[in-house]
This record gives sequence, C-alpha cells and structure tokens, in this order.
Amino acid sequence: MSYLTHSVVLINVCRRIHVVSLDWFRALRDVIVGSLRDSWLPFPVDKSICTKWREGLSFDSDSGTILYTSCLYQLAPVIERAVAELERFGVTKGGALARLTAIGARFLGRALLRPSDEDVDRANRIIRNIYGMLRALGVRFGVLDNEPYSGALLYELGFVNEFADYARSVYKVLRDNNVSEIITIDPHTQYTLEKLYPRYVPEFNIKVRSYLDYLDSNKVKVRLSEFTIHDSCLYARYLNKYDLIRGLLRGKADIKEDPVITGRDTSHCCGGPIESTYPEIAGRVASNRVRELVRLSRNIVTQCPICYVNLRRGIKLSVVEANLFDIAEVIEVGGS
Amino acid sequence: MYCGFCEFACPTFNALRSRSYGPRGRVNLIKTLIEDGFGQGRDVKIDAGVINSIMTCLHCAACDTQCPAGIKIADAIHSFKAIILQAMLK
Repeated sequence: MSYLTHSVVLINVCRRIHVVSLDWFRALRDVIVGSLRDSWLPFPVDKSICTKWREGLSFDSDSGTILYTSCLYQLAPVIERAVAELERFGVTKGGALARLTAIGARFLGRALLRPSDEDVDRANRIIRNIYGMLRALGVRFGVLDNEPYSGALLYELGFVNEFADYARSVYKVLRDNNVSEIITIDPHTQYTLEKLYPRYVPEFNIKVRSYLDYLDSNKVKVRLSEFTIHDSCLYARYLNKYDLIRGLLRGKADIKEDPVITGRDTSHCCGGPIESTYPEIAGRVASNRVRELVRLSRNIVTQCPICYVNLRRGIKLSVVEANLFDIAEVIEVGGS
Repeated sequence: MYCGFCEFACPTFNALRSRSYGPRGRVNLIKTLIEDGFGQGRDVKIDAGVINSIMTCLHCAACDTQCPAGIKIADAIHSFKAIILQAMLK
C-alpha cells in the first residue's frame, strides 16, 4: 500500500470530518473575484461600512502617507456571519447547493452579509482609537476616497494567479493617488503589502508599516489590568512583531504568559485561514485555542480582527467564559 | 521529513488527531503526488480526503519553527494548494 493510499484510508475512516468539494472553492473564488471587480471588496456588502469610521475626523490630504484599513476590521464580522450561514446550509460540502448559495450571496449579499450595528460600531471604535493614537504622536496621513481591499483572502485560499492580477490593479490605484507610504492596522494587510506585493508586483515600491511600529512604548498606557495575549501567526512568525507588541504592554499590566501557549514559535492559530472553507474544523481549532488561553486568563487580547471573530466563535463552541479584546481597545497614547 | 516534531505544534493535527491533518502527513502526500506527476500534465486522480488534508493547512508556520531540517513546510503546502486549485478548477 503506497503512502498516499494509506493516508486516504486514514482520512476516510475519520468520519467526523466533512469532505469539502472543490465546487465550494470554485464558488468562493467566483464570488470574491466578481465582488472585487465590482466594488474592490471581497464580498458584496454595503461599502459605506468601510468609511463610516472617518465621520467627523480630519486628514492630511496632501500627505503621501495613508492610513489603510483594507476594510478588514469592518468585514471580519461579515465573514463570521457568512460562515454561520455556510454551516447552516451545509454549502461547504459542495455540489449544487454550494453553487446556488454562491449565486445567492452575490445577488442577495447586501441582505445576507450584513454585520450587526454593534459589530460595525466596535470596528469603528477600534479604527478611531488607532487614528487617535497616531494623531497624538504627530503622525500625518490621509486616506483614499475609494479604498480597495488588499486581496489577502485570495492569496490565503490559494488563488495565487487571481491574487497577482488583483494586486497589480490595487497598486495602480495606490500609484495614481501618489501614495508613498502605507500605515496598516491588521496583520493580514501588513503581510500582504509588505511581503506579497513586492513578490507579485515587481515595481511595487511603497513603504509599508504597521501602526504598531509608530507607537512609542513610553507613551502607551494599558487600560486592562490583567490579560493573556493571543498572537497573530502573521505578526509573530512572519512579521517579527512578537517582541514589539510585548514591549508596548509589559510592565503596564499583569500579562499572563506561558512559554508554549503564548510562545512565539508554539502559540496556536485561531483557525481563521480556513474559516470560509472548512468552518467546522476552524471551529474546533478555535475552541482548542480558547481552552488553552483561558488556563492563563479569562481576558484575551488579540491583534487581528480575523482572530477576534474566530476566537469569539471558539468561546461559544467551547462554552467557556472569556472576554475578548483587540489590542487597540486596551491601549491608548496619552491624550488620544 | 519523517521525525514528526512538527505535529505537536500543528493546530489542525491537535484538533483532529489524524496524521493526514498534520504537517508530516501533508508533506508526504504532496511528495507522493509530485512523484506521481500531479500538476505536471499527468492524469492523476486525487481523493477528496487528500484535497481536504492539504487545503486545511492554516499556513500558521508553527511547524516551520520545529523542523530540524529547516523545511519551509507552510510555504510548501501553500504552494501546493495553489497547484491543486490551478489544476483542478480549470
């Protein structure tokens, strides 16, 4: 028996795992590519959710630096809601239902994929707090009127050619708007722009920094007295932000750490990268992660909107008590 | 490729307790598929279970940090995801 055959037998006897048809990947690709083409967003949603946080704020329109949300904090609860719908209808198992639901998501998306007002308000508060911290530190930046999504999801799903095509079109938008520096606010966007764009768009020459890089640890205050940290895999293992984040927090709160559970090399993922394709397995991964973290503290601080929604689902699935926060909800810069 | 140090760090291996859903299992499946000519123009049939094994990798890179041979496991699996999608969703 070859290794491949042996492994297939092993997989097939593991009956609890739902088999996902590639039909679902095809349907998901078509929804994302179509939506990006129509609206620069990966799902058909009301585009105003991406810019609502800007209301009443001022920007430096003459600056070559932009604060770039990629709409990810705003979209994360939409993805969470979509996953719940997908699981309810069993569409990830593929077949005709997957295709029908994808078509439904496309045309009925505004009704199907709408975040709650509470989630929209929370995303806006986080982004406005980041805005306030950067302003308090004297950083000057503008925003794009019609901000495109980075395309991270296409790459993460494995649609590399589609990602490369889309990245080139985003770069054209950035270049046409004379952008010379980008401030990102989440790890997926930072990774995509810092590591992937230069690989797939050879002429990409824009400086990309996370808002965390701008923060002065001497000026950062922590509002939460005790918590543990769930690291983003991208920040910790791909973008070298593990020590930077601890430098902002340590000594200002009782941070519950463990060499394995919150270690740079060994901390577990939230399950987010497969939430739209294997929601059941993503849920199990999230539940495991939550159970690990609550051994350290009931207060969990995340750094990524995708981690936040997945761990929120993990809390529900594992029926444990825990309070989730984004790092931008627990830190402030004096006066921000 | 055979030591399995990577498995304890893998969230899907821990969640499902199946070697096919850990880095070692995935890398060996990929190795076999490549040897069989998948993605190189040969007609190689692959079971949905094999697809699921590879497509459920989180690309979290916890396995990379454990590999004594320094194999970039997460990137290798992600690259093969792209090959699967390109070959099978024409």
